[in-house]
Amino acid sequence: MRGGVPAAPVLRPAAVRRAGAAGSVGVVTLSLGLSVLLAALCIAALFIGYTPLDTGQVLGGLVGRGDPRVVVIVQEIRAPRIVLAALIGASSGLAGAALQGLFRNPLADPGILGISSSAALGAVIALYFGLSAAWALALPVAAMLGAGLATLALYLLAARDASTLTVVLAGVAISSFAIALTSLAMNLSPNPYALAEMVDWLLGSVKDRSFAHVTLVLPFMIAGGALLLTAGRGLDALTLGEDGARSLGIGLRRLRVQIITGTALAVGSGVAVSGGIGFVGLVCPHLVRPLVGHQPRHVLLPSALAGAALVVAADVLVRLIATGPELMLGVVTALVGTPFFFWLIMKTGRGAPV
Amino acid sequence: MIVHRLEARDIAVRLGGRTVLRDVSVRLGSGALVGVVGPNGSGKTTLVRALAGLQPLAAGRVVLDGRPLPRWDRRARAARIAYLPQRAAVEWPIRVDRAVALGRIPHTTAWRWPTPADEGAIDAAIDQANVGHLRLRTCTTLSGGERARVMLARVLAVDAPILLADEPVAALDPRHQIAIMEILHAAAAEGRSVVAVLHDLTLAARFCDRIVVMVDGGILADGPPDTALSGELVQAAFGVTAIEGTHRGRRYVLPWSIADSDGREFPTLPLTHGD
Repeated sequence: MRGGVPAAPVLRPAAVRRAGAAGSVGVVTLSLGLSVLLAALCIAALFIGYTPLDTGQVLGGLVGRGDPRVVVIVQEIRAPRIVLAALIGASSGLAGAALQGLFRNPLADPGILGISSSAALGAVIALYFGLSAAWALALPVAAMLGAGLATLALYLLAARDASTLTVVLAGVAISSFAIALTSLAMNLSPNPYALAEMVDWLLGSVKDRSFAHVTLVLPFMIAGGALLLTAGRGLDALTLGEDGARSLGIGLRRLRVQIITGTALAVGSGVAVSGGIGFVGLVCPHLVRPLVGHQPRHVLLPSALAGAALVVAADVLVRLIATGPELMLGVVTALVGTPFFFWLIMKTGRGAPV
Repeated sequence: MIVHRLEARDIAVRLGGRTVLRDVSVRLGSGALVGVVGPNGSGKTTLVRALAGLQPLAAGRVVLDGRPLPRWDRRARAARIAYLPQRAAVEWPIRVDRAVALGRIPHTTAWRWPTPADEGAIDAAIDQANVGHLRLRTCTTLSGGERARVMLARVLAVDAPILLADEPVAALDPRHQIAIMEILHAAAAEGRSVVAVLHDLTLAARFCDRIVVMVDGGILADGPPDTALSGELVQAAFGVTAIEGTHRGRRYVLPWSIADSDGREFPTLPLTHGD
């Protein structure tokens, strides 16, 4: 600045704050807006499916009146699918926002960092050994263990140097390893049905899921989500670097454990019921970040809501696009997410503000 | 009577097998600006980090208000000791007033944010660091001098009785250097205990009430600028001769040429013009 140190202009703080509010939407307004959008998408999703239903039928189905077949379609096919899509999207969006804040790196995402593929590996191991037949919780628990181990390994690899390159390369290494072991399990798969089950599951989808699936993962997602949502203060402090955060009274070890555990619980349980639905955690924080002024704490909740809306919308999309076999949700999010990832790499590489 | 709020007692720090600090004792009272000077690698940053409680100690202890630092609750300690790291920066493009507000984190919990007291401290810090006109700018687009003052405002917003600043004027133009020193001096005049690691001996002599001279991980001298920055001590610490003088009652020290241990200037460069 050429002028050196000018006299402080007479700007009254309250006036400045009002003017500042116009610069970004604000976290409350944005969250409310996204909630309305999410609710609208969920309602729309109730009407979209392979059996055309009118308003009266959907309403009747919701309260359990009318044609029993319609009741089954609404309550047991469409509703759990919508709820699960929203939960998985919210978990991914939240985990992506928290990881990007923790690593102070805009390319952090549960999928890119190998957390999702490690969760998938855990689940495939459970399928391979038939553990889920013995214990209903075996699949989600194995998936969450996989996610937890991957997040821990990632943290250890990136602990000394949290640069973009190190973090992404560590994620690539973890992801490659998990995919190699998953391939091994498929390679050695004892019968073609187990193999088909694994493949179908790895592609990622929320179709044909029931409320049993929802109640299975909901506690884990709530616990993980609570851990991630309450990390905002620490993530804000990390904006000033690790020494800066520690000097503000933030226990960094505790913060890391909190986010690693939260990510493992939220992402692992999501992968456990839906398979791999990627890139939501990468995309959503970027969509909301400029709108809330880039502060990590303010990105968390809107990113979760945007994730929920995005996955519900994507799941509506796969039902609207008429293909032979239904498009898998994970395939769609990957097709949409990958170009975004390319764009993000180019933008980050040019040193533009993220 | 001077109240000693923060005190290092015979502290030693080892980093990677090397002793970086040895037998260092220093007491910081209220209402004084203390300059820490010394050659590169003499342990200035390590000392300040140790005082801030960020550096594990091999021996000795740092005591805040009569209680050793590790026995303080993290948040309570952070509300009493504000620390400005070297080359402080903000890693996301957030707005200046929000960056300054980060200084209030020790006074908040996950469930309480922010109160009028926080707002008041933020406004006061912004005024004190003279960055009101930058309030709505984005941190990542500031010049070096602007960023230094915003980061200083962030530290002032903690409103801690103790303020530790590691090289707050590094890489700044003269005008910004003087501006930052004036802000630190004013903070000390308000009754805070302020410590600043400095390389510019004239700034140190002019603005500081007390100078700590560090060499090889120990304290060579500790006292008012007139004695701690005498010609002999500057030569012993830095290996340079200096031009000394007084202007309007304040001392200045201008390092001039490299000297050997006997005080003879090395006949190094022919510093003449027009040849």
